[in-house]
Amino acid sequence: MPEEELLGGRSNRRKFKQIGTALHEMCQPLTTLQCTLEMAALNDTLEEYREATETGLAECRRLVTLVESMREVLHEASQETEVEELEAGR
Amino acid sequence: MNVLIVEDDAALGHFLEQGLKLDGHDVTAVTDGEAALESAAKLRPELMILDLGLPRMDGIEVLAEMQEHYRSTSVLVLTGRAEMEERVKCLRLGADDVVMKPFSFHELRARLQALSRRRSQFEDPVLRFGDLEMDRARRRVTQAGREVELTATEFSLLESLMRRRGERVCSRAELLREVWRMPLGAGAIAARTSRMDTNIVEVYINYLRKKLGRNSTASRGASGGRHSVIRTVRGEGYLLDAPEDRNLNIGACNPPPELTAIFALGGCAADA
Repeated sequence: MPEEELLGGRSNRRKFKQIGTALHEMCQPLTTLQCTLEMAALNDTLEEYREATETGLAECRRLVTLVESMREVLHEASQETEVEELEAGR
Repeated sequence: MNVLIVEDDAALGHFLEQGLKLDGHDVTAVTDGEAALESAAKLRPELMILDLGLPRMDGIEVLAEMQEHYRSTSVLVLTGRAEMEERVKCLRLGADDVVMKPFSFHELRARLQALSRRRSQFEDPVLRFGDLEMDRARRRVTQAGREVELTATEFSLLESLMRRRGERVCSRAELLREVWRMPLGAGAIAARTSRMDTNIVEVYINYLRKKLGRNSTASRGASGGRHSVIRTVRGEGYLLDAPEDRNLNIGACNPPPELTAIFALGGCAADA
């Protein structure tokens, strides 16, 4: 197998792994957010709604942080790809 | 149901604990694999909700240990990993169900109920506590060998109490859910606000006390006064009470706690 293809394969596998990890991490706050909203829909007091909103917002902040880290990974991956393409062209 | 939650994510663990408590379950939550096995040994839970990615000991290892030492505990695995191979591995290692994150709490509850139904198939149809005996298949209750005539609601109410075998207080919210089939949350809300519809629990508890007290000479206390079979635990709920001077047969022929059914089988809205 040509060296470029081998390197490209490794690079892709690393990217898939990073995306897989990021998706896995996103599942936690997303689950809490979904369950909290479902429970809030069953409640009928202002206090319970407020509590659900606070939990929901905290989970949204976690999701935003994860989205930002995913963007960074994607940015790095796209830079790596550009370098690989340039090197392959040379 | 006696549930052990093993989840290292604090927010999700807390939510599951609160949600399942509101649903009437007896819940303990831990955050790592080693604590999970320690709690399993101590509590012998009927159900373990197990996250796979855990500190100190991985969920897969916990699952293998559970299968080896605590087979009677049903295990529902939570996973954020999408690989089919992992779900198959969990099921082969002894998991009773696998739920992928993100999941709906409604779905989780439904799956718990399905597990509960499966467990109840192994349950002894006869419940025993002290001199009380309840044959659920024949819908018959005896106290000290004498038959006690109960309405359908009274029967369901007594069944809910007998399933806890005097070991755990049965809250008003749990009774409203199990006997009167109040939906999730409604029982807790109603119990908290003490609206007039919650009087129904007290009314039926009193009916039962009269019927169970009246038929039993064995239920008289040592002083000769009447001993109530159902004890009120202030602010908590109700508990079957067996006086010490009775020759107790608490759960003698019942299945072990891990094979005890969870939800009331004969809940009803109206008396026969």
